[in-house]
Amino acid sequence: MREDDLERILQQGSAAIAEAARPKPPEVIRARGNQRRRRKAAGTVLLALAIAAAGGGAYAGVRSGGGQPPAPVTHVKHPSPHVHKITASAAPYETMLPAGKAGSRAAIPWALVGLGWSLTDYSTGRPNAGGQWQQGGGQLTLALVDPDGGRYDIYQQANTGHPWALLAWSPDGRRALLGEVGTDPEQYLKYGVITLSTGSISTFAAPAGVTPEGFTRPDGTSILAVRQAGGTVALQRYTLAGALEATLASHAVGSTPSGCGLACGAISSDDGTTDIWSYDGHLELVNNAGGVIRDLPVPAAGANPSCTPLTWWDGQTVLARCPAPNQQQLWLVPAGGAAPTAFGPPVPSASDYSVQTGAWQLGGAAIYVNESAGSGCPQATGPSGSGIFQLTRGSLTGIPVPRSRGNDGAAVGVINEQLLVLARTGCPDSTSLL
Amino acid sequence: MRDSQTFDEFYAGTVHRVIGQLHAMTGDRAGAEDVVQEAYARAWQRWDRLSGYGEPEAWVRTVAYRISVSSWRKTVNRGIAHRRHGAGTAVPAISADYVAVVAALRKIGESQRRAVVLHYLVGLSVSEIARETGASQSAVKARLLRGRQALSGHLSEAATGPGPEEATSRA
Repeated sequence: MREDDLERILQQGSAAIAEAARPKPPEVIRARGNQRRRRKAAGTVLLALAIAAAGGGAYAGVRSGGGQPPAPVTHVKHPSPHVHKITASAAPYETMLPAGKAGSRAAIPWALVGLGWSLTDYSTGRPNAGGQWQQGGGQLTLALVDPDGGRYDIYQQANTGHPWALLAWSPDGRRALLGEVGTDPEQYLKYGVITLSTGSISTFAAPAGVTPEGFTRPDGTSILAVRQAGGTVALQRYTLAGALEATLASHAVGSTPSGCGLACGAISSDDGTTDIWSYDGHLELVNNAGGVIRDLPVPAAGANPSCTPLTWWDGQTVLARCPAPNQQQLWLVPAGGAAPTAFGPPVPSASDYSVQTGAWQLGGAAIYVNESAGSGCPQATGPSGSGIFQLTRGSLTGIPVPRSRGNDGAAVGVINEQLLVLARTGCPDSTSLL
Repeated sequence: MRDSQTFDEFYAGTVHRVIGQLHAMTGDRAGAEDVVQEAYARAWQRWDRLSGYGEPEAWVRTVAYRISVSSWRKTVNRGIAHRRHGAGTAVPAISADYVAVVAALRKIGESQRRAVVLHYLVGLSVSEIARETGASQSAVKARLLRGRQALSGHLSEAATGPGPEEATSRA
């Protein structure tokens, strides 16, 4: 039998079976589910009592022998953020926290970590008017947030004046790249890779002029970095311990300052075979094994500063921020080399720190753009704080951030078709996830 | 808070299709209806979470399949099916070819049968089948290849001389 015959016969027969089926009305199914739910709850109580009775005896026996009670058996599954479809094997056995509840990293259902989850940091520290942390008081927390709004605190750091800043989350969900904040907002004192399941951090110092940008995909086993020093700019790959693995592309750019702050950017494609990075007015597609594939057409190509890749908008298109004199604009740049299209309107850029940092889409229609104007407290005048803007018919309209100070907030994720917002709830005071 | 309206819409839009798919996997029409409805009841238990994911239908199909292969459930289903017998269910207009294919499917291995149905009926790719069944892609490819070969062998046998089961089914 030919494959297409098999397909046709199965589909026709199955459709006939489906058509003839007389399933019960949905309210009957729901009632059956509710009944199961009640039975399960009752069964859980009985099971707990049974375990308490059996476990109590066993535990007493162990204690009497002078040993330690047996360690609980846990089944920690590896996260799989690339599996965007829920599977029956994962969901029934591990559960997320109820919305709004907080737990520790031990409560993270790793098998469910993936699409819809967010990794974020928030602080209860007290920055000064310039946005820098001051010594003493408050703490920074790195936390995972599940799609229902449950929060899992992974790491907490007392305010030493040099907090870790969250720079990137590995595509496999297991690690995060951190940078220790110093006095220069564009230069980190050192970098750390935190293992989220344990909270342990391994640190490394980046070589002079090297700016780590994020993890390679799909597994996050390496770090992409831009090296800018000695008249050369290069895209490089480093190990998680900070050792150079490979130089993927390199260009002579004349006299340049060492390091590159906000103008640099590099992101890995979903399959990890290619990377897109910005340098000296160019946006370039590079093979992750090394070698330039193509220079991508961007607005004002060759002009500095460069378009900066922010994120993949879909599998073939990158969302990039392209500066112009006193302006900036988000563009969608096809990796295949086609002409870019404007994503939003040009907006004034009052300072180097006033930048659009990303965009989020809800329900396939509503688009929200983050704009940051530095990390200081929002002021009555002048650029400071962050804002969220809705993109409608080519124009941007600021949206209120409830319970925030001066509508200061930035979207950091999407949960159940709602924006997850990191908002400043006091100034100088704290930030909160809303 | 579970949203009964979205669940009802999901149920109405997918339940017939999933029953058809489970029938192809199990060859048991009444049993397919029962396990599928049981799977939807379980889906309603956790609908607040499932509704937020991209593929609740795949979840229901997988759970229904797992219920169907449980020997305990099989016993229960047989009892339910027995009680349902003669309840005036509609007669499906299925072809002799389909009856033969489903009969042949019941003769091949369980994992091969599931892979064949998911690929040729549900329309999943190898990687999607791997995700749904928890197998590697190479294992899925092998199951599809061997399943198709075994299926062809059984269908050839049936064509040269239908056994009693096929003869009865076609009557």
